[in-house]
Amino acid sequence: MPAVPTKAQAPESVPAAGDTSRRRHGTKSRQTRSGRSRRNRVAYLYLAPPVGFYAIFMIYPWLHTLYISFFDWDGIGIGTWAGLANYTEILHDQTLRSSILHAFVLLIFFSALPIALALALTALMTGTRKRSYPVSRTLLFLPQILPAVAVGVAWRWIYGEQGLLNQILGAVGLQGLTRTWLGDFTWAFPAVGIVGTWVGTGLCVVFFLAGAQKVPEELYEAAQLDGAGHLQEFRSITLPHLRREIGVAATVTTVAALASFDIVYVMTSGGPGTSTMVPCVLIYQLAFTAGKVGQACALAIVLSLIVFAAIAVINRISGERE
Amino acid sequence: MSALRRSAVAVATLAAIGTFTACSPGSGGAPAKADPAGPVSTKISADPVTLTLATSEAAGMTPKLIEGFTKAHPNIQVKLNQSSFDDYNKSINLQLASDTSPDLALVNLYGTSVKDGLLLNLDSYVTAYGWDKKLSKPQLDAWRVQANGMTQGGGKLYALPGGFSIVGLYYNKALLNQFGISAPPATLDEFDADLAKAKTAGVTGLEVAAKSGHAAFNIQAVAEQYDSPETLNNWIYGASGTFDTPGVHKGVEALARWAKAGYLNKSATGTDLNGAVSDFGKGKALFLHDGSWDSGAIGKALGDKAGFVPYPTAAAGDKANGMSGGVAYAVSARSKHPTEAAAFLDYMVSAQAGDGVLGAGFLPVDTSNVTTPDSPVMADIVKAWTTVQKAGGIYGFFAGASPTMNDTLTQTTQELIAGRITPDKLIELVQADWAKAHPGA
Repeated sequence: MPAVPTKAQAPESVPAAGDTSRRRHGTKSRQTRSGRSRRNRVAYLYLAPPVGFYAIFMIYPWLHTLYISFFDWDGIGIGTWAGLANYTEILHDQTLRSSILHAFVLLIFFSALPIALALALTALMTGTRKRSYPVSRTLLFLPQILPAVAVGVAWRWIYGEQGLLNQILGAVGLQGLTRTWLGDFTWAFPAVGIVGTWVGTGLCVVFFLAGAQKVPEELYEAAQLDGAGHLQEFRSITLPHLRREIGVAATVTTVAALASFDIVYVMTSGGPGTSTMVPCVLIYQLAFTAGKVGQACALAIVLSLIVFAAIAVINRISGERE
Repeated sequence: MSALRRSAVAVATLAAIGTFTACSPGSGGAPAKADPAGPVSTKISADPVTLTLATSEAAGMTPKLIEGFTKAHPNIQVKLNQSSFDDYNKSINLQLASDTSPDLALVNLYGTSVKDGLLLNLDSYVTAYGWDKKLSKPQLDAWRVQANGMTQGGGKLYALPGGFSIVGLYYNKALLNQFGISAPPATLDEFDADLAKAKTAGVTGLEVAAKSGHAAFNIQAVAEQYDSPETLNNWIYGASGTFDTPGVHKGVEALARWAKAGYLNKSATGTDLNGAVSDFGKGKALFLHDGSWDSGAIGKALGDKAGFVPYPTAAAGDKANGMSGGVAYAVSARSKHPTEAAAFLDYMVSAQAGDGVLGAGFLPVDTSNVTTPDSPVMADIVKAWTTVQKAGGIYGFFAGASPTMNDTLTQTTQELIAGRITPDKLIELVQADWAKAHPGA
């Protein structure tokens, strides 16, 4: 008999040797409590590896980042205590503040638009006229499996002075509209944002199609018998069933928007000026170009708190209400 | 659930204790010796030695140096570790601080490397090899760093320049002829008139790589026509001064005016250096203000249609001037073979290295053994370099004034070209960056 029973050996059904006496004398409630605490101990054992992993690779680095954020440190020399100076700097530095604002505007492109587009596509692909559309699904999901750096480079070509977009505009007689999109103060930000929409939509579609598959076929049949149209079907049957999937999609895409780095860094590095600067690019520049690791950490902490807060709000809205 | 939360808190607390009992960040590593102990030797080992060299120099000068050096010393191998300019600058200090530090490292800008004791003080080698007789005082002073570890322009030497670059005005002779201009501009007024002629002909007057921060080259070049090398270099070296000088004002205003008049390439804010060089090479612009490092690409694209002169001066006959940088190498404080690494530096400034350096578009320290370049634009560059050297008009680069200055100049000049900020605002923002990096000055 192992010292710690495994999950399959529930204490009540297979009592250990010493248990008989307690069973005779003990009350029922005590018995359950001791059983539960034992089961809990087993549960902790199972939890230990992931919790340990999480503690070492997530919690510890986060706390270490928090710690460094109170120092003035160039990453190599010896840091000096800075108190809250790095945090007050975030409040006062205009570039730092505007980068956080940009991250929130990116939510429209990285989160709201992909979810809306994906819902529209899901509406087309589900319901009574349901087919599987394997090719379209693969094409839509493709941006997700491409490395973000490759996506960024490809789009930089598309937006380039002699790029595909300008060629198309030229071919249809709109030469007047051509420009270097990523060097334009007005257009660089939406140009980067649209790439985020392109990447995010496929992911959301996959979430929603998976969610739509668990909708019982009978509901659609019943709706059809009642004379519901395609749109009505989607609104009254598919959409309510997708509540949780929308929540998951919103969470994933919100993190992608607020913590966006690779696409922005590859496409514009935050330029022109600081018109596409986002917090993560700034963190990178602060830590590795400016040698201000303490301030980079402070911004990282603020950003992580913003992400936590945003996710808490999303969970609140989309959470189980049954 | 609450038990789980409790244990999570316990884990977090443990992690926190682990963190907070450690002392200040960065105090863990063993310090390297930045000053050589005792007298240095110029006698290199006869045993096999492998040196590692880290660089971002991409014009081909470094491989040539390695080839010549290892030929002269067959027992020494040099492993070349090359990365892009941006990646290199972001990672070199971490490499130098690591246990696998390269022996030799290119210095684009010192940043915190001297302050953090990552580089070997070369002063003893200067005397041992007599480098102070091969290079002029300003050439060495540019790489000297004062005791605060940040201010350049005097103090201890931490890197030796092996090849020099010169920035000037590339021009397209065919376009010049086409617009009826007899000679490249000698004064700023002539320059303005030439830009206007190009505009009338529907050709870009001045190609600007504002995405790479090179729009600031034009600000500086105009400023140099009014401000002395001491004034601007003191600011660049972080010694003293302000960006708010009469010359800088004229430079910023000129750039804003040219942008507004449509003299620059239409997509300047989105054009990087590669794009600008390629456009100029295709004959799309009359002028390109750029360094000698691109002479290879430009000579190849335009052949004898390409010319190079120092930037036009304020009045005819004023002293010629230009920005100049050096391809400078430093020895890591953690190098196990400082003697051999220093010998490499000495080879770099020797007569034997001259041809390889010039072939890559840099001006060698010792020109006694150099064959005349066959590329017409390179011949122009050698001529311009000699003129500027003789006139004492050598300036550093604005972008070297702080670790973040290149980013700041890139952003602010893009905004200026787009007409989103005023010249005064640009000067204010650039000076704010400088003040952050040099709090004592």
